[in-house]
Amino acid sequence: MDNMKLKLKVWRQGGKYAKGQFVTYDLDGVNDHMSFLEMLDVLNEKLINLKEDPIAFEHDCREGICGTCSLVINGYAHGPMQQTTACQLHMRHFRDGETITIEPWRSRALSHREGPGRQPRCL
Amino acid sequence: MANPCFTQIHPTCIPVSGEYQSKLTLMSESLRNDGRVWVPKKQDDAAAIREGKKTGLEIPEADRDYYLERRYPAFGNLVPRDVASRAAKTACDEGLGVSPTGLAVYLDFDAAIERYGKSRAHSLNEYNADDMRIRELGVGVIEEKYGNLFEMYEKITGEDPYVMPMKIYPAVHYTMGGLWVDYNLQTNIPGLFAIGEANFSDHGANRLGASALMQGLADGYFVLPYTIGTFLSQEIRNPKVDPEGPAFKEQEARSQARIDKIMGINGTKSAETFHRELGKIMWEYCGMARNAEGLQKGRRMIRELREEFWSNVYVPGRIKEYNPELEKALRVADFLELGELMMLDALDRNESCGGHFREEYQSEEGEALRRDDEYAYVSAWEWDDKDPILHKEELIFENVELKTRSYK
Repeated sequence: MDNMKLKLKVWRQGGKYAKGQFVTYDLDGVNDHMSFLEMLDVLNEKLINLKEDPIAFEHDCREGICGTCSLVINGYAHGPMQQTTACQLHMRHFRDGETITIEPWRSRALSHREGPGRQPRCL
Repeated sequence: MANPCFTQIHPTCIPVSGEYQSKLTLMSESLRNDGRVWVPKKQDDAAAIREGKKTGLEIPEADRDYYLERRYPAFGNLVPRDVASRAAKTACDEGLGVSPTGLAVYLDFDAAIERYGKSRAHSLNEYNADDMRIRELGVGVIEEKYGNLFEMYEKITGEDPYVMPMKIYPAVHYTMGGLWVDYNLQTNIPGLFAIGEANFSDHGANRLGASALMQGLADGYFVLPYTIGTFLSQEIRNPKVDPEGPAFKEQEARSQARIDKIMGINGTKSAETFHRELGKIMWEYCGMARNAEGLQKGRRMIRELREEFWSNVYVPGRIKEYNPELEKALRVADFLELGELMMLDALDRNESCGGHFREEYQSEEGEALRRDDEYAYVSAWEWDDKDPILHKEELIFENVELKTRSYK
C-alpha cells in the first residue's frame, strides 16, 4: 500500500524550559514499506517546504543497532513492536487512517513540560 | 584526504524500495556461505517476475543462471565483494533483475535447506525422513545459523525468506580512503591523530570483511599508544593554551561566519534535497563501474550543485537551539567537496584496482585490469577550491611482490 493517510499527534517543545504541547499533522501518501523515521523524514520535508520548523528527533545508524532513535510511539518506547527500534518499525504495522501519538523519551535534558514554562534555576 | 576513490560496494544489501529511503540495509556476508545467487536465464521470466506475474519459485532449475558459480567455479558464491557486486550489476544491466525496479538478484537457501535437512536427519537416525521432514529439519538449521538475519529481512521487506528466495542488490558500504596520516597516524595537522576507519592507512584499495574492526584494534592498541606519547612528550612543558588567544578567536569567527552564511541564504531547497541529488550523482558516475567521460560529467554536476547549494539552500530553525537541520546542512556542504574529490581521484586513477573499477581498464573477460607500473601510489589530496592538488606517495614493496588475483 502506498497511499496511507495518517494523523500524527506530535509533542512539540521549543527547549528545556519552554512550554510544550501536542501538534497534529495530517500526512498523506505514506508507503507501508517506509520505516517510522522515513515517514517522519517525509513529514519534515513537507514542513521545511512550508517554511515551518521540522520535528527534531534523534537518529544515527538506522539499522537497528545503535538505539538512538528514542521516540515514544503510541505510549511505547520505540513503538509497539517487541525487540524493534523505531528505525526498524515499518509503517505496514499501522492502519490507514490511524492516529499515531509521538513523544520524546522523558529525560532530564528535555523534561516534558505541560505547565507554563519556567525560568532556569541557577545550578 | 587520501585514496578517496576506493569505495567498497557490498553485494548483499536489501534492494531499493522507494525514493524516501534514508539508507539501504546491509545483510551480513555470512549469508553467501549458504545462499546461492541467481537470476532467470530468460529475460521474459525476469520481466514476468518484475511485473508480479511470476515468483522466483516458479522458475525451473534449468532456467536459472547461478552466474557466480558459472563464472567463478573455484570460488562460486564466495568471490570477493567487488567481484560479486559487479556481477550482479552485469546481470541486472542485461535485463535479468527480479524486483520492480529491475535492480535485484536472488539469494536462494533452498539447496542449503535440503542439504542441512538431509544431514540432520542422518544424525538423528531418521533414515526414512520424507521431503517435508527434511525441509523442516533444514529450515531449523538455517534458523539456528541465520535466524536473526532472516528476521531482519522479513521486518524490512515484509517477505518470508524461508519461503521466497531473498532479493539482494549491491550498495555502497565502506570507503577505504580517509584522512591522510603519516606512519605514526598523525594527520597533516600537528597533534591531530586519526585512527581506525577515519584514516586511509590499512586497507589499500580493498578491504576484507570485519577488517575495519581489526584496524580499530591495531591502530588503537599497537600503534597509537607508542606514537602519541612521542608527540605528547614534546608538548608536556608547553604552557596551557589560552582559549581567549588569537588562534581560538580566529577559528571561532570563521565557524560563526560559516554558520551565519548558511542560515542567511534562506533559499527554497532543503539540505536533504541536495544530499539526495549528490548521492544520485555519486552512484551514477562514481559507483560500481566508472569511466572518464562519466567522471568528468559527474564532477561538473557536483560543481553546479555546490553553487546552487550556496545560493539556494534553506535551513529552518535558529542558530542557538538544537537544530539538526543546521547540522545536516553543514555536513552536506562538506560532502559536496568530498564528492568532487572522489570523482577527481577516480578520474586520475586510470586503472581498475580493488574498489575502483574503470570500464576502460578491464580484461577481455570483464575482470579488473591493474596498472602497477604507473599507479602504484597513494593519492593524497590537498584541498583547493578550484583545483585540488595531488601528492603521490609511491608504494614500495620490499618483501612481497605485487600479484594479480584470480578467482577462476
